[in-house]
Amino acid sequence: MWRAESASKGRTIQIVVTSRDGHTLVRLEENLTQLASGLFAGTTIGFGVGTGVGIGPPIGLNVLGSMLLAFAAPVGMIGISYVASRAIYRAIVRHRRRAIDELFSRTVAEVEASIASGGTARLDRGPPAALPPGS
Amino acid sequence: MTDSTNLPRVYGEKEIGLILKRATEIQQAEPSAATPPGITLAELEEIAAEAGIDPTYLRRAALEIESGVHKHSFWTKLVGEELMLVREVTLSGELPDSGFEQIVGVIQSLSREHGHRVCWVEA
Repeated sequence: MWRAESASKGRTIQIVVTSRDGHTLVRLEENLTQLASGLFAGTTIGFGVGTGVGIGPPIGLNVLGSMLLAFAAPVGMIGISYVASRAIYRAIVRHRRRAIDELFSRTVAEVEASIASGGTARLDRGPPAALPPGS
Repeated sequence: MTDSTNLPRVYGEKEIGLILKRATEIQQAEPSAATPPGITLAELEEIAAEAGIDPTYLRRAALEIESGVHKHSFWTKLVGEELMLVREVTLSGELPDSGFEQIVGVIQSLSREHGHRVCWVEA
């Protein structure tokens, strides 16, 4: 079994190729936990709670003169930040999924070719697939 | 100019899933239904082939579903997407040692293009 790890800033990709008992397993995984926690903590907690609690109540009480709005502003800011975080995260994952699918297809195709040719497959199967930029 | 109202409706991913699920439920609810519940992989392949989907991808998708890589946890629901992108397939046939070396070369070239350092370890 061979395992490849590509670790760069903010992302980790692992590729596992295992071959035994007449079968070959190809597994590719990218852990996005770090990206998600950073994004949601920064946007929802940092921006949402920070601005919502820091600015909302003073504006609600002093400018608008409403206790209800003083409470509603932080909740609204946190809600908006959370929805924005989800939208950003979904867009990033969609982009990465496409690249991972392409990389996986290319890897599987190479493994299939290598199995079929008994380990003498060539490496000239067109240009390499694009990995998503690390962000 | 082509009238857009004459174009056939194109269904999205969620709608396709819902339509197939509902059609299966309706068929099973029919008193005359003789078919067992659910759809076999072969039947799915037929449907996919008619829809222009390569059966290879369908089999790969079925394997991924069976392996449970798409199960959604609380955190996945919270963030609205997968936290771990996993692609897995089991191929028949063994990869010889020389094949491993070639695969290493392919993945290294794919990764190097974008400045990623790949470290291979024999486990």
